[in-house]
Parts: sequence; C-alpha cells; structure tokens
Amino acid sequence: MSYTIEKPDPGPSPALDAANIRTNFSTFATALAVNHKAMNDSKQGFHSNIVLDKQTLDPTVDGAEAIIYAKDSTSNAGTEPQLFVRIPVFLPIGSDTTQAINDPMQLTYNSVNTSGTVTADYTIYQSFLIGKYLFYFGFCTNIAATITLSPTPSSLILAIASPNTVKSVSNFAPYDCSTQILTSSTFKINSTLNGSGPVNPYSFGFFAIGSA
Amino acid sequence: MTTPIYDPGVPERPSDSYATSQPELLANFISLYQAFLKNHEPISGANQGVHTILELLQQTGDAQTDLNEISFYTKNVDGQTTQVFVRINNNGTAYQLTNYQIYSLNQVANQTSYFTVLPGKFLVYFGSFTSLTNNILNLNPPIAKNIVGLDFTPIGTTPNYKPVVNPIKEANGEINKLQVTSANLQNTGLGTAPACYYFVVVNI
Repeated sequence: MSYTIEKPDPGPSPALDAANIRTNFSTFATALAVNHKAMNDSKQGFHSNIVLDKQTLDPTVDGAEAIIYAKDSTSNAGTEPQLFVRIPVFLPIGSDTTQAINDPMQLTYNSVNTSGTVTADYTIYQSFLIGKYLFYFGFCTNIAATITLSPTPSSLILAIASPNTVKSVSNFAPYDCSTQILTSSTFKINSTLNGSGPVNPYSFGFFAIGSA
Repeated sequence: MTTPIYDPGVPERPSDSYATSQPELLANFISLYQAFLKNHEPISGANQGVHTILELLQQTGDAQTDLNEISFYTKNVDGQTTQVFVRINNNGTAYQLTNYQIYSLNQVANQTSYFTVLPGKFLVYFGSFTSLTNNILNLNPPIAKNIVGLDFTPIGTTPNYKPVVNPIKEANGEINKLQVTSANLQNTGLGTAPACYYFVVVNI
C-alpha cells in the first residue's frame, strides 16, 4: 500500500479506510525523513542534507527567487551531474550595457586536489571557479620541468608565475620570468635566473586557469 | 488539481462523525502531497523525499543559524537581483555566494578576456593580451569599484619583468581600464608591455 490522495473516501465504514490513513501518515513521515529531520525530532522538517536528482532541463526562475539544481555537464573529464545556480534576471550594474540572459552558472566540478601532488620539481594543487573553470596553483623549484595539470582541462587559458627569490645576496632584483603554454594541460616557466652567475635554490609560485 | 486548505486541527472533535472528518482528512492528505511535491520527488515515488531543485524564495533579511547549522538563502541585492547567500553556523558571517551573471564576453582586438565571480562580491578578470592599444587593458564587464589584487606574467620563451599596472579611474568612480606598461629598469620612460597573461581581482 502506498500514499494515496484518494483516501479516505466516503465509504460506509471508517474501518475500511483506517489502513489507508495509517499508510498515508507513515509514508509521509518516511518521505520527510529523507534529507530532512524526521517527524517528532526536535528539529522536524529542517534539512539535514540535500540530495538533488539530476534535471534534464534548466528550470524557469519565477519571480524573486534563485534556483539551485543539478544537471549533466560535459567537461574534458566526461559527463557528470554538477550543481548549477540560476538567478531570476540579469540586471547589469555600473557601465555594463550587455543584454545577457540569466544563463545557468555551474558552481561545482568533479574534484579538488587539496593535499597537493608533489614531484621533484613542483607541487601542485587544484580547485575550480564558478563558470566551469579549473584553477591550479603551486610552487616550482626547477624551471627546466614541464608542469602538468591534472585533471586535464579542455583548454588552458593562462599560466601566471612569480619569483620568490632575488638574484643573489648582492643583487636584490627579482628573477625575471615568463610562462609558455605548451599543450592544453602543460606549461613551462622560463627565467634567466641569475644570468651567468650562481643560482641558489629558488622557487616560483604559479597558478593556471583552464576551461573544464 | 486544486490544493485544498491544510487544516492541522482536524478531526475537530472526538465526537465528529466520520462523515464530517472524512473529507477533512482527505483534504489534508491532498495538501500534504501537493506541498511536498514542491522541490521534492513525490511522496510515493521511487526517490521519495529527495529533492528535484532547490527553489529559494527571496528573503527580506539574513537567515538565522543555530549551532551546527549552515543556511543557504536568497536576498535582493541593491541594483542587482535576487542572489544566493550563505550564513555560517551560529548566526555567523553571512556572505554573498553569487555576485553577477557570468556571460560570454565580446572580445576586443589583441585581448582575450574571461571573468568569473568569487563569493563575497569579488569579480575576477583573467585572460591574455598581445599588444595593447595605448597600453590600455580593458576590464570587461566594466563594473569594478576597486582593484584588490592582480598579477601579470609575460607570455612565451623570453623571460621578462612583470609589467607596471596603474588603474584608471572613471568619472563615476569605476575602474574599467588598466594602464599596463613595461617595467623599465633603465628609467628611459614607459614602454609597451610585453604580451602577458593577466589575473585581476576587484570589488563590485
């Protein structure tokens, strides 16, 4: 027996619908207990977590509200449901005259790398930015190395590096540098370091942004 | 189906006949079902209780949070629209999670531009440029109030020093352009910046 919105009906005896009434109360309590604090809990009705079933269409935002939902998103890593947000309308501010629509914006990605991947030449971490961008950052101690980004983005937009070292104990100019994107998932830091002078241990901080 | 009014007070009296309470009970069951159907899979469905979407109706103030709670809600932002906010545990910090509509930019010559938002009313401009006209880097969309962080790196195999960057304030107080020139260790004047990747964080 499952929840019914047709019972109790005007039957000849309440005894006929007692089971239906009990089932409806029971089923409602069971359903509410999913993602919510259960009936009779001191916080009954509050959310405990929120599981979002994947939607196949973007919801229409109706009036003063915003909608968070899940739908498939295809990235270089494949297709998986991701969290999206849609605001009711785009109202540009300042000098922005763009007539954009309120397209859904992707809030999440499949993975983050919070512990860092350590190689002999660099350490790299990874997160993401709203709008389906991957964000990588870390330190490099050997500019001869090619820095490889994982997960692999579909395209690499930028790679920025900054020296953390001056040229020598008598020349406090920072190292010069440039970055060279080699492929959609690799880049290299270039520097003349201390020219023909001795090179002490050094490091470059870096970050890179790619399209997921 | 019209949703009947939910009445938590029925059956009203123990002495009510079943003929009286039957339609009241039926109305309540219908109301419960219809109300729960908002943002949730149906009560009797395979995924009963699981959410479909999370429709956050605009609130007039910040949501209250007790210990061990966190709240997602929406609020109107002056000059913008309904945006998503987060409030941390125990009525802690409330901050804006969504800031601005992300959209595809119209690109300008010699500059490839993207932008995204960070929680807390920050916006990030990023991309690359080759040769800038009049040493001007455009910040698009043009809505920056303050520059709060930036970094540039020359592109390619030839190392160089990072360029010198100066915000250009408009009459309305916005900073929609940056003057970007080469670092010049010989003091021979400002030169054209080399092609660079750029990353600029602003308040909006």
